[in-house]
Amino acid sequence: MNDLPRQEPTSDEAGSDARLDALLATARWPEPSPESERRLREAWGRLGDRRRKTRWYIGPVAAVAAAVLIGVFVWRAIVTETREPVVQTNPIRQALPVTTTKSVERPPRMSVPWRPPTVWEAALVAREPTSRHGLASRPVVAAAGAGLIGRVKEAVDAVAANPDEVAVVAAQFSKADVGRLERRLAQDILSERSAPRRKAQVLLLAELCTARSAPLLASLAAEPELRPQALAGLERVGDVPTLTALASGARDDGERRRLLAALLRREPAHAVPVFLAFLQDGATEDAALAALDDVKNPPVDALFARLNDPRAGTRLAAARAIGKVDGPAVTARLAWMLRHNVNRREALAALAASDGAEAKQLFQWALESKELGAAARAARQSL
Amino acid sequence: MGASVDRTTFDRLVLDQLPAAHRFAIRLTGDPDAAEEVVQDALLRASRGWRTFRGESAFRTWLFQVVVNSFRDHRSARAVAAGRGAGDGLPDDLPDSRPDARPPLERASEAEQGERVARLVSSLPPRQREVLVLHAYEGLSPAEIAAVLGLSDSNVRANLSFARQRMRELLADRIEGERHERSSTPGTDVR
Repeated sequence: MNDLPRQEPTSDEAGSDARLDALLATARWPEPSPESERRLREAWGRLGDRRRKTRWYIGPVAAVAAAVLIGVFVWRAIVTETREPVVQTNPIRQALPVTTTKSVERPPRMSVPWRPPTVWEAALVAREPTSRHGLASRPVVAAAGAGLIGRVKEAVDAVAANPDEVAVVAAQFSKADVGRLERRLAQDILSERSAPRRKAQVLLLAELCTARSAPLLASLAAEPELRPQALAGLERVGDVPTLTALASGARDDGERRRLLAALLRREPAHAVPVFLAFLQDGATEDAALAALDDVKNPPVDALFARLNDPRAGTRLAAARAIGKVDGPAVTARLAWMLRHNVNRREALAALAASDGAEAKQLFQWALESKELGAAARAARQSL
Repeated sequence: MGASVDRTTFDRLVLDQLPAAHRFAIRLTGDPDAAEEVVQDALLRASRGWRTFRGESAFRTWLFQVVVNSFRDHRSARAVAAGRGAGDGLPDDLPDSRPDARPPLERASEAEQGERVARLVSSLPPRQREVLVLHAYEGLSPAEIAAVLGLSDSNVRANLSFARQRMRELLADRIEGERHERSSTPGTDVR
């Protein structure tokens, strides 16, 4: 390649070169958005801050390390000087034990990899605390407990007979009963042999439970016949890590959609980044987009905040989610962003992803606009 | 400059040249989002290796060199992620070399044509793309390009020649169309 002969261009080639140069000069790439420039300047600023902080840390840390080292040396010197000379009273030298790979006893392994709690372990966590403190032996408490056992039994019978009535049955219990009720149900679920009654117990627990029962429900979700009931409870009380793990291992798109919808109802600061990760994964994006339809109040502010994320994939996913949410308020906000040149590319991507009539109209206007046309086409291509 | 710079001066130089580096990355990648990632990575490298800038070359050239290295790593990472072997020498997206079926007068508007040319440049094989962008759009001489890319001067010229030849082929419909229009205009002789 280095020794290629260079031929003199013919007149036709020279003209062609001039036309090529003229065409090359027309090339128009998307301009860097003000947000991306701001993000890059901030990134550079952060790198400078980190370096300055590191410098601040290095000084004191080095001083402390030096002081410790000096202290150790001084101490060793003092100890060596003051140590009594060792007098060997027994001149017979003992042979050193021979160590081979076979003779070394391996230490027992103390750590095991993490696994979800078993049903029994979860029940142990949720067991009745009163028995530990001896409260159950008091007559009043024992009578109340006995009453609850009967009511729980009746409730489970009613749910087993008619699972659709579970909400009505659950309404018979007051909030004050819930803590003791879920502990009672946890114990019953573990000891029950009848499959229909066990299903009814899980159904009732799912209807009434608090976050305390989430580990038990998570382990019950591993049992195929109890999974739908357990998931129903986890949709109510499962935290973000639990819902994330379950959605990752969901058995079908419908199940994943329900779990992701539940995820969107959790604290947006924690839930939205996880949700956007699902949206970026080709295997889960359909379920994630569908989940947005199931949420009455999607975390729109958190999604808009993610349009500033330093990662391009996250910004695009947030734009897609916003486009899916749609609505006049969202479209007005996107129009404001276009007008004020704030995250323009992401706003255009959101409009391109939207099915709303207003959003489509606005995007069409952007496509035809001289100023925004190129960015709009690029945004449409990026989806 | 001739002497190494202190960190404050280096910070100022980076901030001065940041927009140029960003535009350069956009031209290389053809995608503003990917370009931002490339520049972020380049900034990290620049921050770590700022002492390697000794002021012997122009700062812009040095920063472009860092951006090119980040761009190459970015491509390799993408190729690995896509399940391909890195460094296959193929562009990410093959350029659309199909001739435009529409008559010239009905073809894309000027803006669309500019976007098309940009897209074709950004989809050339990586080495040719780097050389063409640095030469045609960043205005670097072959010697400067050789310094940025770590190539010999003759290698730069050969890659530039290949890149222009490739672009001539890809834009043949436009070049021919214009020549035809000019030759049909009275008093215009293209030869």
